[in-house]
Amino acid sequence: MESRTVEFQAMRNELASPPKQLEDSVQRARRRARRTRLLRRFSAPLGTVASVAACFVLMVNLFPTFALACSNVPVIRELAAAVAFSPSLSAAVAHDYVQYIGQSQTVEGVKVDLGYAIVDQHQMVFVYAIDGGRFYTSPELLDENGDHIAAAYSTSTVKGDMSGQSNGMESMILSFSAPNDLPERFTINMYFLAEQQPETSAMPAPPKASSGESIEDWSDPRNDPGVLCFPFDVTLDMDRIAQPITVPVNRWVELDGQRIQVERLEYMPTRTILYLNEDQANTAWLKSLKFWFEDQSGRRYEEKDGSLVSSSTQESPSQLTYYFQSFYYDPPEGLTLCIDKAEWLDKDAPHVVVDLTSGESTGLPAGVELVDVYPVGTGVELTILSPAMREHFAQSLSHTYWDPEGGEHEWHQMSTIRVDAEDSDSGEAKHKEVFYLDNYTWDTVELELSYTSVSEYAEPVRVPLAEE
Amino acid sequence: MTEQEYIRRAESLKEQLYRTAAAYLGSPSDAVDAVDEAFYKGFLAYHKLRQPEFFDTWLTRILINVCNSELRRRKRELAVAELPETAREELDALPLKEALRRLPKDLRDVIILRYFTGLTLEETAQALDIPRGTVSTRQKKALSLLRLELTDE
Repeated sequence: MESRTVEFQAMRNELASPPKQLEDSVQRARRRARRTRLLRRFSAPLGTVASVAACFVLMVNLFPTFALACSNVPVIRELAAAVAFSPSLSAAVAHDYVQYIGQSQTVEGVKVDLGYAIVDQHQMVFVYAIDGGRFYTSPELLDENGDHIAAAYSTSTVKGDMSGQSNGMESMILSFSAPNDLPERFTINMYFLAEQQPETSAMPAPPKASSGESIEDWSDPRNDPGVLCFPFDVTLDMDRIAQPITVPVNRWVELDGQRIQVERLEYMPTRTILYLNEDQANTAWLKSLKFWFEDQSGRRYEEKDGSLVSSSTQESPSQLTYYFQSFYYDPPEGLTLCIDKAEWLDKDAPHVVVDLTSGESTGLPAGVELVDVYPVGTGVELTILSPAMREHFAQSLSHTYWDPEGGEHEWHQMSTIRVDAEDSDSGEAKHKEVFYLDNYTWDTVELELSYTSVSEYAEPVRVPLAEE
Repeated sequence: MTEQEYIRRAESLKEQLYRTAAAYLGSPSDAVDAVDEAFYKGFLAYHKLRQPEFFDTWLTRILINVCNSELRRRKRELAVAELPETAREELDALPLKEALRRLPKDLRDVIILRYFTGLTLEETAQALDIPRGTVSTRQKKALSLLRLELTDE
């Protein structure tokens, strides 16, 4: 009995000195929870397409000609409803521009049926049904040797059914920035999370903490507990991939003292692509352009379509390629490009320098303020408020930052939320961005802006799209 | 409850939760993992907590579930069996740390919460959602099995 008491005291003493890793436990959990919430938040606006889906289901059900056009592909109603959020994809399905995949996999009780692919030179849309799980993170593409396909692509998913339940069909959209990136044979590793994750029991073992853990140790969401991988081998029928219809334009336009050339439009089955060029003598990079099209009858087209809004190249940070709803199956006559807004980054804009001790900063554009510098574990969180006139998830900073010794770092984590006017101290709606400097031990940091000015035009700048 | 409030209360509770997890799981790094997981689950759910006065027992209960889940996983992997309440001799032969982990779950929960987490009888009853009298009975039985003579501190 006495020796048991000694053992008990020894055990208590042992537990009285927790390891150093415990110090950051709350903040580690906070960052992980923020990331989880961010993922949920990003999926929310995409789910608001239910009313569009309803109209499309009605079309399929009420108009025999439309249904007939869809009848060549198996289970077409489900497919049509699944892509109802997108006029472009709906038109592609109606014109039988669909490749049938028809593969099914079940992993730990979660079933995924990969039904169809809608593919053109810049975009792959996979339509699938999932039972018992939900989309978790972007897929991986592997070539026949199992190596990653180094294409630059972005991903989004959309539920096409009315209920918003996960047992309906969903679309996973992979947008490619270059046509040559599109592979013929590949494995797509899709990642889902089981729907039934009990809140307080039977969770998978948490990932191991290690001394000096950093964001990088767990920043790949594919390593998160409970994530299931579904590898599908896909072979595309490249003969069925349509060639684009090209509309040459070659017109120059001046915006805010900068010269931009509207070079051409390309109509693809799933999207329209607008190609711009810039004058090398410009003093600012074009970081964002907001526009719409109008045809000769005055009809307005303003539907963005797809997960990729714009892209840049390695040669220039300007965003010179823009993606829009497809005009492939019904090209409008006499189109005019109508530009509402442009964002610019001065080519000689200095870096923003933040003193992490005092919280003071220099070089932020008008209206943008650093409101908080908060040490978290081995790093620092920076909170920035910017005007809500910018796109919802537009970042104020580029992906790179520098320490005072010139060392280059990249953000591994940031989040953006909208602060409504009633919740804002200034009474104006703002965007709040939180950036995390991981394992950062210096007193100052240099940040690179993603824009320096925003111009909103009282009247749209109009550019006729007939060739000059 | 706001996020700041959650952080403040979680920070003040973390060493106590660590002791609890370490008593359940044995290894310090596993205990930190379990505390991380409990805090994460707490972050996702604190806004649903209707009675903030029960924050400590609520978070402790989340942690116990995380630990029990980990122990179930280990049991599947290593085939470690709990010893029945009648197996006093086998428990005697084991070091206290191991004997504690081989106790029937109901008894182990009570001993850990009472003597390692430091909860009162009332708080232990709340955390385990059982009557106070049951806590008392299980405590007595567990101490007897472990041949431990401890006073209520």
